[in-house]
Amino acid sequence: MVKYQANLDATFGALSNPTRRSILTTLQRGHASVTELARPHNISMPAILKHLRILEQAGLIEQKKTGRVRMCRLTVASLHQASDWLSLYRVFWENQLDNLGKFLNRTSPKKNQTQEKNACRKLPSKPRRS
Amino acid sequence: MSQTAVQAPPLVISRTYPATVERVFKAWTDANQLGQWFAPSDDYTTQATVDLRVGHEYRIAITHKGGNVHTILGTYRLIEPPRKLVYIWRWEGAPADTLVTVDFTPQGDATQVTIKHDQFADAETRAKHNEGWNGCLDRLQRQFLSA
Repeated sequence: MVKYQANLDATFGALSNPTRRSILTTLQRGHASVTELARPHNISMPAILKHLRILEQAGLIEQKKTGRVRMCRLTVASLHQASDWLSLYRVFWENQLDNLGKFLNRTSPKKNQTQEKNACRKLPSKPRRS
Repeated sequence: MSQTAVQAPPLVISRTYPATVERVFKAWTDANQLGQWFAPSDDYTTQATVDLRVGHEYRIAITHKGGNVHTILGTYRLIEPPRKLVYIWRWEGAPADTLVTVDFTPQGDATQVTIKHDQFADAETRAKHNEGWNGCLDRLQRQFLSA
């Protein structure tokens, strides 16, 4: 569980930076070299390498060296893990909200009021002159 | 691999109840009332303590009939009775804080509850994060679905 949380932290931490999101967007089109990834960004090579390292540690990309060229590609496992987190919480909250509905219904002051009202309605009302 | 597997956070869920906003707010902030509904099923019992002041703590212990206890704890960040609550949410033992925002909106005699559960408790991180990665994930999802 702790490791799972740590992975999620890494994933969302990695996604919290606009440059890194932009790198991911570029990689959707397919493999790219580090030089290609650096081109649209006005930042130094060490900076782009640092971003790539963070993305790699989060399991969002893979880097592979072919000769002198370092190629990057997307991996999806971490994103799925991130969405699992959401699914778990969705189920959890849906459940809790159902329970809240039952609780409110059980403890409703209106329930009694309604019964009283209905009881009142059963009393013969005075005929109205029309 | 499910087609809906990649979703964009934060998680947002809404529900409308035939109860006044005051009652719903109280159910959410009164320790005794929380204990009566804040459990995943009848197999669990819930015990809550609440110090409803900004910067102060709540603690909700959910105990399975088998004996396992899961505790949620955190501090209140914003309290606007009976309309809004913002609080940190952490499973005891987990390293990451998350942030829960609950809006209670009157709709006639009914109340709409909207929960936003965010993975980032830190406002700055969240602001940066919100700036555009939802769209990024949407695009990624399309990419994976078409791959």
